Amino acid sequence: MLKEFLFEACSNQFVSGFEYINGYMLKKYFEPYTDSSEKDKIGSYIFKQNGTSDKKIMLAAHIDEIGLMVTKILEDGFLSFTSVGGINPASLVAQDVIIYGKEKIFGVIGIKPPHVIPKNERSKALKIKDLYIDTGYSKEKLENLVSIGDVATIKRDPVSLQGSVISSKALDDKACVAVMLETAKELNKISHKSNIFYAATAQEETGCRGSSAASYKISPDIGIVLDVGFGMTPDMPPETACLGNGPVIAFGGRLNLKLTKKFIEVCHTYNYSIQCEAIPSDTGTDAESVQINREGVPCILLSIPLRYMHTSVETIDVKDVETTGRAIARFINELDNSDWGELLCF
Amino acid sequence: MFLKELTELSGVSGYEYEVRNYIKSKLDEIGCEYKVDKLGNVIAHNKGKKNKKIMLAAHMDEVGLIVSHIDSNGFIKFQPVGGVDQRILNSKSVLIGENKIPGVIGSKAIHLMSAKERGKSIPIDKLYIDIGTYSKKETEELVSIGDYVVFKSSYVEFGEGLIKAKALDDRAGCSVLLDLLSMKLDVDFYGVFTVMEEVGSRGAQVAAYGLEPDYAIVLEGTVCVHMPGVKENSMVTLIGRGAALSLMDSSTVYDIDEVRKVENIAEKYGISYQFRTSTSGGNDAGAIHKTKEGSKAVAISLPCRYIHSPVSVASKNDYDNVVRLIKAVISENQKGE
Repeated sequence: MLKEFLFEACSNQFVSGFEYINGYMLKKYFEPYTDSSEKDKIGSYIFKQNGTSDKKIMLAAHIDEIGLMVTKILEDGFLSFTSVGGINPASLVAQDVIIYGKEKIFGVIGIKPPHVIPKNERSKALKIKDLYIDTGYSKEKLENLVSIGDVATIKRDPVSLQGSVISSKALDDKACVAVMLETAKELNKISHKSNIFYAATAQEETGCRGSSAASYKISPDIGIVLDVGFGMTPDMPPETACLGNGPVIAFGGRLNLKLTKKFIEVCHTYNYSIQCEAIPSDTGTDAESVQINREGVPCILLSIPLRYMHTSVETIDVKDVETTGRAIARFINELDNSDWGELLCF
Repeated sequence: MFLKELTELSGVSGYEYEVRNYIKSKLDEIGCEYKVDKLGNVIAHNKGKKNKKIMLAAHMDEVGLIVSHIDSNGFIKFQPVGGVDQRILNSKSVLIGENKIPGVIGSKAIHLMSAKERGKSIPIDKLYIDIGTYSKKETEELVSIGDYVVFKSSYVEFGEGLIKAKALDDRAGCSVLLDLLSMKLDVDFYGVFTVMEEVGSRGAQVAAYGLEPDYAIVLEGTVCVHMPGVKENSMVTLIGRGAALSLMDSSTVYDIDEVRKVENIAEKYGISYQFRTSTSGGNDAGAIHKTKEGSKAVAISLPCRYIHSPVSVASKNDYDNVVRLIKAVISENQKGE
């Protein structure tokens, strides 16, 4: 089910600010396990499992993805564009794209062929303004189909690699929305006392805006923030987390140490593999906004190791998603049976 | 038009067998006589009215990658086969070998790049293919050194009469040749589907040696830089302006009398054509026109934007003009002078 959800969610667009268009898909997957749902004013989707206590635990994973936005319609059916979120222009070359105009419009981003490019130009850094989407329409026709401000994404069919490894665009952070789905499924089976809020947050890639509004609204006692982290590849430093070895829990200046240790303890007790990383300050995730909401929220940060972040071939092991989702369910179960006063005091 | 089927087959230079098998099966269906020579060229003979020996050539192979090493963690290193620009490799889906093992070529996250690194292409020796394995042993069970690699890119019709596919260079030529052979014209010609063009026109040379043509037409997908910010005189060819005639390139100075004849035929039949306005690039004509005692050769090509990339783009209308022009040229040539 996790893979099915991921393939469907990653095949559609959830560009920051445009998340609302395909929100129905989240409802389809989350509603069987949750009691209520709402879409907030920024565009985040919040699903709730009712508990029996007054405690509130918020899980947050951003639903938005990086993308492109049309800035100009040119002669011969070409489009100029800018990026929404951080995109390396080099990763856009020779890609299929879908423009979400009046209808879905197919296009490609190509470059001049090597036959006519001097060698020194090939090693020059590309800028987004050097690139164009080729739609194959005349300018007149295109103007009826596409408007300035429409968004586009790379068109990439998600692919199953060996074992449970998959590759797609937008696994940042659909992988963690899938973690929430797994947790919701698990907690639907085992009982929980706390009220659990699953926030698929909007606009993380453009500055953690959705999680800020969502956590204000929910006002949780504890925040569990989920995002993807860098996965090991030949060009990464040795401390990088490996795919397939379970969630990565972060230690750092902005995270709650007691809860972090508690999570590790739960993983050890229930035999879930876990990896640790040190993030001294800014985590670059929704934890930034959730933690300082209202009078403050104690947070832990978990990540799923992912290779080639912010490219169209982001790669994860679905096993890590499953492990993480289940470990969180156990963690919540343990929290429900703990003394929160003691757990959260300093 | 056989472009969808042909472009979705794998046929990196030296590994053309999928394309060859497809073409052989089509020739069987058409009922056309053919043979396969020692290097793997498919040589079909359309029998008919004859004035001279005409050879039409289109190459079956495409540019791609070849597996060169498997590292200790199971990542796969590779080398380019033919002219592959390192800039097109970033963030791609690929298929490896006969069993089409899926893999991806990734890139370091933008978050970890210095400002200087952003936007820069990564040299091929720093890239690798990830097939989702965790060890060398696991990868070695699925992939071997020497396996070829193709881009995963499906055939798409889009915009107003355009198509996007990988390997339009030169499955476009193969498709045109199959179209011409399917017509069962009363015109004698040899339709040669060549191997190894992208690594030096090896196939075309031996095919021409065997055939000794009086006249050859090379059917190609050719460079088109019809893009924003490029001056029209630097575009080489334009999409939608018809079949492209070559005058001179790095491999051939085309026989000007023959080029003029082709031009006149295009005018006579009202077929759209344009001249290829660059001398860069080369094709099988280079090998064919100087084999044995030499022969007359022309090249008639389909303009392909983003050639040698997984997102090559061409116009269906241009394709039709290429088919019509070649049909007219061979018919006129076999009428006699």
